[in-house]
Amino acid sequence: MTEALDDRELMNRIGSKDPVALEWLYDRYEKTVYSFAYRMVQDAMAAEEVVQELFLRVWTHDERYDEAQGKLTTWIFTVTRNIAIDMLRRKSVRDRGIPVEAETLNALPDAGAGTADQVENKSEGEQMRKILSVLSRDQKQVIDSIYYGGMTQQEVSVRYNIPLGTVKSRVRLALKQMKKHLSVEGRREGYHG
Amino acid sequence: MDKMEEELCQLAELYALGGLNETDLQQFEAHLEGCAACREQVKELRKLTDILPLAAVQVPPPAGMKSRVLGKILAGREAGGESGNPAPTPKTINGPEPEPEFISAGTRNPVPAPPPKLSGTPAKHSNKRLRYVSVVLAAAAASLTIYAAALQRDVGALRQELAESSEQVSGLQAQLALAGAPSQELKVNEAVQLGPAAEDIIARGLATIVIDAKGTHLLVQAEKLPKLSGSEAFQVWLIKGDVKKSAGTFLASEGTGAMYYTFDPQGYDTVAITQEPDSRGEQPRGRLILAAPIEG
Repeated sequence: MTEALDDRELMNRIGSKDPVALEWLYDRYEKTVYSFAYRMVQDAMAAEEVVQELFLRVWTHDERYDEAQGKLTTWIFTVTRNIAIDMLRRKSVRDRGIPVEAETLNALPDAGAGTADQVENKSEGEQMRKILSVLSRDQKQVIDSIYYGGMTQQEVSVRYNIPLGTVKSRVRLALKQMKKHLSVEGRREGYHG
Repeated sequence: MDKMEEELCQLAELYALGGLNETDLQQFEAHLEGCAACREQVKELRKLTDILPLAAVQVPPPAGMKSRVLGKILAGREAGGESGNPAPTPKTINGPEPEPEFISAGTRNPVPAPPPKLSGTPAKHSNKRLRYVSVVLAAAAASLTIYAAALQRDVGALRQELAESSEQVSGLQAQLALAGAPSQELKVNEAVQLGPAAEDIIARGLATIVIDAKGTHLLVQAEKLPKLSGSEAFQVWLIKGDVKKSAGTFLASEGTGAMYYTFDPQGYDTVAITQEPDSRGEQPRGRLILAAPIEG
């Protein structure tokens, strides 16, 4: 990935209210953030609201990025997830059912033609999907509900009628397995987490 | 390490994944301060959870999203006026409180810092400075007017939403009153056989549309359905041309499943069942299993 300006410089310029820098940041993260938000809220309009709120917070400094906390990508994902969880809790967007685009049956997911400046991470995404695919149905269910569904372990326990201890052990086992595969895949594809 | 602490160590994975409630979270974070092993583990786990968002299938953003998102943010900035330095950021609907440094520029303290290029004593340049201040004040007043107008529009839109919501509530109350009552005069409007969508599918099913005082209902039954794995589910769709509306999902028991859906007849032409990766999709993503033409 080539970066004209590094993330830190971009955030500094946004801090001094440079709209061009905001646009650059937007272009860089739009697709990744939108896809993640969509995965969580499962609704195009709601996902756009999440993106809107994220960039508003970036612009108004309502959420401050501190380099010491790690990569900007990580910070952006964390804020995005928090916004999406708030939204999922506020209104049940899943029930609204407003399809924005009429996709065809059996449509294949977009292969993702990002520009060089987009945070594309296509291979990382594929790698992650591959890693998730090794999980059992039960493991997938807990990871899905907690991470993408924003549920707590207690909520998962009630929703799927599983004892709390089982939720805990499934999460532990799932992450352990994923970690194992991440390091295997990482060695194969030269990923450095 | 006592038992309590040991139990807290077991929460590292849930913590990294974001699955702890407020109480557990506070307890675990307090524990984390004193437990080097957990800190190390969380750090390792974060390498994994940090890239989980990338596993989301890439979805193209809706057309025009960029201009809407950036437009709203930057319009907020301009509505507040460009007078001060730094530019004031007005409070937007749902937005955060403006920061104190910004408030001072526009409202509380109308005298801005002197322009950087001014030199000499303030007295010498008092006229120039006064002119500058009045220009800034005029700009601030103008932008506040624009901002107020924008707020009024927002209030108008919110009022309309409120009126629409109350209408919906009375509609829902009427439906609720009916829901408790037993079905009366249930009439079968249409029943169609659902045919396999591909040669290797042996599934078959029946879609029945029935009408009673409560509305129009779709009943779908199917058997010999393919085996589901993972979080997969079957999903029923009502289709009109290119538009597909989810009628709900169901799981099968030994290949047999059924579901029930109440809907507004909209001239749907097809009913279809797909095998989906999970039960949360709003548009079909999986394989088409059964379909039949209807007149719903």
